[in-house]
Amino acid sequence: MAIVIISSADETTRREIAESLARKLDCPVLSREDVVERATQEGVPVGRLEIAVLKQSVPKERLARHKAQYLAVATTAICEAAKTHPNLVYHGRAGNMVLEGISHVLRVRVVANASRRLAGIERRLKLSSEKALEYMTKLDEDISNWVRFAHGVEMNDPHQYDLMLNLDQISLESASATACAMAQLPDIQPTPASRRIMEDRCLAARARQRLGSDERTARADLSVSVRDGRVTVTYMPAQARWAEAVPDVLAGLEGARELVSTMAVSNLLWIAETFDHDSTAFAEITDLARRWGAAVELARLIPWSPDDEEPPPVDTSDEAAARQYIPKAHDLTGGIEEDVKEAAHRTSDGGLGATSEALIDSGLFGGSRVATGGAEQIAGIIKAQNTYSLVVVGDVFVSKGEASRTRLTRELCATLHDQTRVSVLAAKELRRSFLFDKRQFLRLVASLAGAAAVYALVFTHQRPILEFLGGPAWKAWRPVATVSVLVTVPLVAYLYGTVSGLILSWLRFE
Amino acid sequence: MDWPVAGIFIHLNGITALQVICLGFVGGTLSGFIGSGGAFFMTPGMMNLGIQGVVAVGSNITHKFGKAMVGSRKHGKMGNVDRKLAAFLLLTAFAGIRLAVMVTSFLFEGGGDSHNPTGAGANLYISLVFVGVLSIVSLSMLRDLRPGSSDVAGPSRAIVDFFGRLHLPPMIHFKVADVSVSLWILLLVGLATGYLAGTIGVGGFIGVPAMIYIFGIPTAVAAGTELYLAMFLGAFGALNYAAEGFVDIRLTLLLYIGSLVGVYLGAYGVKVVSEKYIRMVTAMIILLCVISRGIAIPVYLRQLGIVTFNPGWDTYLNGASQVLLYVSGLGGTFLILIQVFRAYRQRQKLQRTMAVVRVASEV
Repeated sequence: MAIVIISSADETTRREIAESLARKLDCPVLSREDVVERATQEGVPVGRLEIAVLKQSVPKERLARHKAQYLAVATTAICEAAKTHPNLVYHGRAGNMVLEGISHVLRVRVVANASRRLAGIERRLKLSSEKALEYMTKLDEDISNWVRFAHGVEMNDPHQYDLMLNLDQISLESASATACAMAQLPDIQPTPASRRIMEDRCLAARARQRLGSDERTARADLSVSVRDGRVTVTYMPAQARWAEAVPDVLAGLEGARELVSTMAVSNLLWIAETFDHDSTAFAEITDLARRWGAAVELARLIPWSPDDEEPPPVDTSDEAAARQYIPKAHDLTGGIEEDVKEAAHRTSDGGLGATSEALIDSGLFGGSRVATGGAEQIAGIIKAQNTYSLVVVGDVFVSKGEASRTRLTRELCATLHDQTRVSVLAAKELRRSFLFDKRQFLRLVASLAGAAAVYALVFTHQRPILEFLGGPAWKAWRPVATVSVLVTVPLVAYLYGTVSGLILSWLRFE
Repeated sequence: MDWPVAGIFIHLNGITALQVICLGFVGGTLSGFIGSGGAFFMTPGMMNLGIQGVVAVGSNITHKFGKAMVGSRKHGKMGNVDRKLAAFLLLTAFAGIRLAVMVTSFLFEGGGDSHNPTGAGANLYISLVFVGVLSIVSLSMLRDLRPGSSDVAGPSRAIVDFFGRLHLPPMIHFKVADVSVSLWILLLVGLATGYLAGTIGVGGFIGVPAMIYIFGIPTAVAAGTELYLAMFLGAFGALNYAAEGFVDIRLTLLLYIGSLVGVYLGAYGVKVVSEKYIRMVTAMIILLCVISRGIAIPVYLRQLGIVTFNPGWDTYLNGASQVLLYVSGLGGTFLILIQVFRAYRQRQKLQRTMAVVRVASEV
């Protein structure tokens, strides 16, 4: 079973290619228009929401709630349709973001033939070429703004797609044949792990929908995350009176085996390549989260850049998100080894699963995600969520040497702070022990005494020393004078440098 | 006590000593932040206090040796020093410096006549090279920073990509800087930077942009590696000047009092401000120094008889040149310190919350 998500700014093109593909795969088609209709029936004012986004005329809080409801409806609709048939084709503007991180979803971006599209607009709306071009440009801009608002991504970012089809040269039929062939690749077939994620995603969407449509919780800002059927609902302190109703509203939710309600002032975002719930960093972050009343969100960063010689790493974890992987060749086993793969998945997710479980147990879990790339991808996540009070960068760039790792981590922190204005710290700074112990104090005293002795010697014996270094005595003792300068100067630099370094460290200039 | 001792070492009162300490602080801050030795600021600054030029240079270069040692150690802890790269550059830099000394000595001897002070020819040559080369450096850096460039766009990679396409083997990989560079480019750049450093007396202003724009090295690593290089070049310079009896150890020690605090603050600044800001401050300082030197060129032209104007104007031109130099050093330090203390206060605020967490969890 594969879910093919076709994204395009042009509705006509995506509809045609989706229908062609659906005929080939013999499966149903679901469209954004179907989702919008359903969302409207359920009380989500999608049309007004779109206008409000473009005109920035509605308070952000209300926009965010409507957006969350809309996305919940979209996810639920796709999940329900996917249950009825082995394959499904969905077409919309950025449907690829609705089921992000699920390995049996093929994400296709279709770029319509511009002249054909223009001709269609001229015909449909009876516009001149110039007006049609103007209309098309404005429409594309509005759609990009909507996608940015709804999903926090740029619509044309190629990293979000498995396949990009440009219809300038190839026909629609050829494009749908290509997508059809790709949808049948073993890499795109569901695994137990990907099915689990899909079920969790669907459950979260249904929970979100219920909370948004029940008048007891409709006005609360709640974030919902699900892992293995455990539903975690996180709310801000100001929403506490509504949050009391959460267990009642979600009672009997099909598929949910446990419900945890967590109050959060804000979220801490912990970014790392590998997580360890037994580490000091975990203890410090959870301590901080409890103190601040924050939830902890995990973001596994798999560093990769288009300049890298190696292809991006294949993340076999069950939380894999970005899909620009070049799949490794593997034997077709007919699915016999799937159960073994699931166990392997759990050990190769960089500790994300186990750490998430530990956070759920602590009541601090705020969600998890995986991003491949660098600072830009993480900054996009931070900006989209807009609720983080602190970002902690843990163990990243683990494949690099110590010096490079230190520098790259520091640069990542600085770039994230610059782009998002959120406080960003390296995990080392959380777990650093207090800087001034007895040993440091003794070192300071000894260095200060040594430096003071040299300074006192030089400034109380200026004349003889200067004559030795440049006067009559110097001529007779030139080599000794030269060597004494070369020995004294670095010695003083070391002693005084130690003093100033320790004092500045004590003052936390580190 | 009769001053000056040995005819060259002047008396230092409390005010003079304090000014030398301040000069050291500014030079150290610039060192730690942009990798420049700060000599462009400290040497003329000391000369303004009545210290002989050759003693100012000798004491400063000796101080540079120890300061660069401490600063590069600090940068090394932060992963900013690529020792392998420094070793490659050092070999050719020495050759370049030697060549530069030969050229400028020749010009110094032949550049004067009965009407013009000896050395005007060398002064003009040095100033023209300074203005020409550093104008290109600073304007390129400023062009990279123009509005519209992405927040995460680094320095221009046009030159890096050009040499990358040439792919002249053997290619040498540098782990810390995380770049691969052709050996021939490396040797050529080392020779050129050594020659320029030997001609115009600046190391960081040439070496740091060269590493950034020709090798494609991150700015922080360029600054750290340059400091490491400066340690060896400083040792070489200290050896030579001490052997000639031109090192006033008192000045060196006073410079340390300021510079070894400044270099820590500068290195901290590199950690907490963006790469773009570091390049902006570097470009600004270089540009002001270029203008400062440019203002002094007419004086040398007049001394060589190429142009004529009232010799009384020399004072104003040299004065303006001096003022701009101070503006560049003090202005750059000021910009760095603003960011340093701003970042420091933000972190302190955060740390106070975490300190409470630590106490609570211990209970």
